[in-house]
Amino acid sequence: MTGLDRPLIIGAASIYLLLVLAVGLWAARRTHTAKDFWIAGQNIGLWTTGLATTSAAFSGFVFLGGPGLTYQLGTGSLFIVVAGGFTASLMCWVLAKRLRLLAAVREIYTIPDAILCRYRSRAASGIAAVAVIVGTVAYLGSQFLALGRLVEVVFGTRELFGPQSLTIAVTAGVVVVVLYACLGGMIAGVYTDLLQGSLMTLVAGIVFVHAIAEGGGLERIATSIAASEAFGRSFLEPLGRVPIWTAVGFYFVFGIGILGQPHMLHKFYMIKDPRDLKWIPLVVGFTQTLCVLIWLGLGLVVPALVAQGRLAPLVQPDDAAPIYLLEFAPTLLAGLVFAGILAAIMSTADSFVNIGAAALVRDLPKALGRELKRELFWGRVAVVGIAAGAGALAALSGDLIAILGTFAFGTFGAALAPALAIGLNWRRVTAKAAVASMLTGITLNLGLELFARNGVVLLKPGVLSTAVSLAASFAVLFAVSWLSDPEAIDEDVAFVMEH
Amino acid sequence: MAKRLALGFLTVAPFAILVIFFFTPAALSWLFAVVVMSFPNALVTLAVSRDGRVGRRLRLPLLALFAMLQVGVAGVLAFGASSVNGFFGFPISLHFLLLLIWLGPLCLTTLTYAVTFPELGIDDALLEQLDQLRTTRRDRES
Repeated sequence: MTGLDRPLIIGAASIYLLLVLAVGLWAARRTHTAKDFWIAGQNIGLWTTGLATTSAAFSGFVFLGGPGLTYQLGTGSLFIVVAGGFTASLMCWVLAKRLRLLAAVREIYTIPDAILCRYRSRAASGIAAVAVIVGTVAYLGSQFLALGRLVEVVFGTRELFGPQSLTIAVTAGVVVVVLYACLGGMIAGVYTDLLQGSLMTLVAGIVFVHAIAEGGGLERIATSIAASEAFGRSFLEPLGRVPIWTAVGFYFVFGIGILGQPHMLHKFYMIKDPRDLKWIPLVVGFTQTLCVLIWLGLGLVVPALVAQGRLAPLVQPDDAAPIYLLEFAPTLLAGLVFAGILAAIMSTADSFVNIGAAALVRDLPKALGRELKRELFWGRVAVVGIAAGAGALAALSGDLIAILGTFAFGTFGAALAPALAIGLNWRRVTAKAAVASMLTGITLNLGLELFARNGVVLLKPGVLSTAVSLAASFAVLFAVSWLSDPEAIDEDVAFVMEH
Repeated sequence: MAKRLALGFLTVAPFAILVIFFFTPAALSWLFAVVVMSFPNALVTLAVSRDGRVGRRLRLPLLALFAMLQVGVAGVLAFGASSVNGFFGFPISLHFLLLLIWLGPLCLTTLTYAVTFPELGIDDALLEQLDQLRTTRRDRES
């Protein structure tokens, strides 16, 4: 069954897309300067910043990939999300205050801008910009691919357009994101994120309750999974199906690597009053927890339904969420959830379009000693360029881009987390150390992944290449910092670091 | 002292993780869990230390976070293969994961951050000082 058979699903998705476009048009009238375009005029309130951070962080992976991963790995997959228990506060303690205060003393719109201020090194800021562009294209491509696949399911384009369906579906999704991101920049981005974050939180909570009821309650879900041959008790044990290297590796990469995620950190520049940071961990932490309920709920109930004989075993684990919604959820709820998944994908995509464009027209030229004069105009052009490039990659390279997307988080983490998290809290970190650490993070992450895909096994079974690169990047940062001579820091930056 | 400890840990831990990944037998994989679960505490300690010390109101919550994560992961490891069930028929190891590694730290850290926010010192006086620094810099550049 596709969405075409259920007009309510198409209706909900269409209304949502129109709403998002309306926000884009509204924001376009309020976007006059580069500051408006890149950081929403630094004029965003607490709830908008909090929900925008949540919705940027949680892509379609949480709503589509999460339940599928649990179906495949059991509750060991939860190690990815349980790090969310401290990440919101960790980001605020370690980085949010420093970044926001830096944005108060300097004209800082991007993460490479912050690196340039901290290290006074164009090489460091240029490498950070390259990391942002590489990660952005990979992340964005995977989001567009997920968006295209969802558009195919909801609007039934496969039946209408045959083999060209995915290209058409990806194009349609890209056009909507580009329209509002290009017109309204980050003002459109954060206000659509507010809408999207609210929808995601609401939908995840409702689906969790519905799924648990559909499975017959928590106790029946647990007993049917434990008693089934296909899953068994090991499915419910956190380390039952996943080696400790992988489980704790997930926790390390997603818990510590979060300190290098530009699409989330970027939001801290936008908050109008730095004193509102006080409540950000509460807003982000609890809205993220609500969103994760969809992962937990569908991740447990789909195997339970298979174990109870009410659902055929899945051919593709990633079908867990769509199949549940189409087969078990009431039409209205399914429509809302599909809109929520669209929201999750698009909110992450618009953040990446913006930071990728900024890296291209602001950070790279700065690193090369040049500055573009009409930054707002070129920013809009770059949004179209970045989105078109990532969309084309998504449509042409199919699964490859999805694979790239899965380790884009690791690329950001390994490349940027040590230089930012340690560098903004310890004066002894030098520009050389930051450059060496970022280069180690990028090359090791890409290199280990490429080796693994070509059958060259360098790591123990279960050890994540992204965990190795993150640890190596931290190690290099400390080693080079201790070995190189201390460097001077600008007076205002030092002031921010000391307070 | 606290800052030095945090820096010491953060300097050694990444190397320890790499050694564990490449040279340690699987039987010692719990060491990896212990090191990783200490990482958040070390980072927060580094960030909140002033004159090398952690403020009085933050000490207890940071110790509690450390204890929660260590006990949580120890519980997941210790009860991984046991047949003991907790609430609703789920294995007790899953309870350690959900309560001590996820929800406990969530409540503890978000509330602690809000309650101890004044210690971070973002107030009118600081914002004024930042304004002055910005103006001075602009004047110098122009």
